[in-house]
This record gives sequence, C-alpha cells and structure tokens, in this order.
Amino acid sequence: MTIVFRQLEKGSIENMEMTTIRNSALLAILALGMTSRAGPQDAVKPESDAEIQKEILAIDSQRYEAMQKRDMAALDRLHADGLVFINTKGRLLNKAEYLEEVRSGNLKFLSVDTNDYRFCIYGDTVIMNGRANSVVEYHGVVNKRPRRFTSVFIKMQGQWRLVAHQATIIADE
Amino acid sequence: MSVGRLLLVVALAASVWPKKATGQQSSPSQGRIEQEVLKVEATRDEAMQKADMAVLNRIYADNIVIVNTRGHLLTKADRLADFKLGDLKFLSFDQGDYSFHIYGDTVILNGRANSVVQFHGKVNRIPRTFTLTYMKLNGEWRLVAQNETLVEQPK
Repeated sequence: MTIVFRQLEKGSIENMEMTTIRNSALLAILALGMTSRAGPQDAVKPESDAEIQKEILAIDSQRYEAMQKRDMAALDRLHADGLVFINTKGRLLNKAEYLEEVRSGNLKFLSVDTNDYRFCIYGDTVIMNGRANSVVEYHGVVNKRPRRFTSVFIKMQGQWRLVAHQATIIADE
Repeated sequence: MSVGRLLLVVALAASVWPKKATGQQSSPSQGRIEQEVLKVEATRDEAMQKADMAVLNRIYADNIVIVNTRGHLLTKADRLADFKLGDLKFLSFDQGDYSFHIYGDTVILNGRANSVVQFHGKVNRIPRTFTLTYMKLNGEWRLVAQNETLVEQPK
C-alpha cells in the first residue's frame, strides 16, 4: 500500500537546487492506483500527488541508472549539495564521499531491484520509503541482503533532488 | 563592547552550534532552527525514556514512517505501542554527534546513538547512526521520518 500524505502548511524553501525518470513497471503500478490517503490534516489532491510520485520515481530511476553508468554529471545534478547518505554499514557519507565511491568503482550496482514504495508528501518535501533487493558490490564485497530505505527528496528551484538517504538491512531475511 | 570582544563572542557562539550543512550559509535563522529542533529532540528523548505517550503523540507526525535497526517499517501506532507495552525501553541514553541540514521548514538531523536499548526483551548495545526528518507542521516541529542503522563493528 502506498500512503500519500499532503501537508497543508509548507513554508518557503531556502537554499535550493535540482532533477529527473523511472521504469515503466513502476509507473504502471502507480497507474493501477495503489495509493491510499491518510490524516485529518491532509489536503487531498489526487492528481498532483500521483504526479509527484511519478516525478520522484522518475528521479530515482535516473539516479540508479546514473550510478550503474557512473554518470557523474547526472549524479551531481540529482543529489543536493548537502546530501547525507547513510549506508547499510551505518557509515555516514556526504555528497563528495558518496560520489567518489561511485566514481572510483568502490560502489557498484550489479542489479537494481526496488519496490514496496510508500510516499508521504508534504508540499515540496517527499519522504519515500521502500525495499531494495538490489545486488550491490561495495569495496569488493557483494551484498545481496534485502534492505529497507528512507529517501528524502526536496524540490529546489523547480527540481527534485535527493537530500538524505539511509538504508538498513532487514534482519530476519 | 569592543570589536575584539564582539568577535570573541561571535566565535564562541559559532563554536557551539552543531555542524552546518555543506554548501549552506550560516545565518541567525539557521541557528535558531537548530536550537528549536534540538529542544524538541531533547523533549522526545526524555519522553521515550519515560514512555510519555502524550508527548510522543505530539512530536510524532501522524504519518511518520520509521525504519528501525532491524529494517522493519513502523507506523506511529506501531512505535507508540512499543513504548506503551514496554517492548521498547531505554536502559541508558546516549545520543549526539548531530549534524543539521536545513531546507526551509524541513530539517534533516543526523546523529549517532550509543544508548542501550531493550527491544522485545533483547538488549542492543551496538551503536547506530540515524536520520531524523523534522518538519514544521501547523507551527510545530514534528518528526515525519526516522531511519536507524547499526554501525558495523570491527571484526
């Protein structure tokens, strides 16, 4: 189930920045309407919420594609300058450190498989949770363990950018 | 106040602020926001230790999504039930190493926790890093997302 939550109050966004596409299967899931709403404080706007989800999924898809291709220009554009990335080892990386892991080949996505998305939309801030079964090689060690993640996207100067991401291994699987 | 004394005061004030976001300019409003969020976080920490459901209910946004150290996805009701039933207890509390990234009414707060936690009868002493996303909703800072990950220990 996907939870869509739109917050009534949203203040100005400062210090902002940029963008991006996701695979057709995910868009199809959205089209199937796997969306529910919650919260008395919601201002329900189904069309725009669905549109935001599509935009975020598109950005995230571009992000994974860029990681697989080591497209540093795209990665630079898709991640906010203030990105904070916490990997499954609990290590905190800033944008420069994270991009260097990709550029150097220390971090490679051997396959990408993400699903079970949940969205909470608060104006220009979107919390996306999901599950990843991607196969990742990190510093020479292949990790196939499923994980849960939280990604925070913020619209900056008209473009969605990833500002925070954290992934946690699912212990019982 | 002399210019030198004023500079000293400014330098001291700057030194006690938590780390600023990369690429962000320091400003009085950012410092104020950090202090506001830290105050809410301190209130939340105390409420967690006391299992103060009213306070936790106020701080957690209705649609908060929590990923705990076991990779489980929890709703607000799930998390409050953990505290209410005593399934989640803090045997000691130690949290810090905060860093802030402020985007208007959204604050990303990262940190490290060394608290000793008992979860469903099992004691966990492994340090963890976390991402807390606070948002100002109807004039109040509320926690909208939390993700924790155990820090891999040297073998």
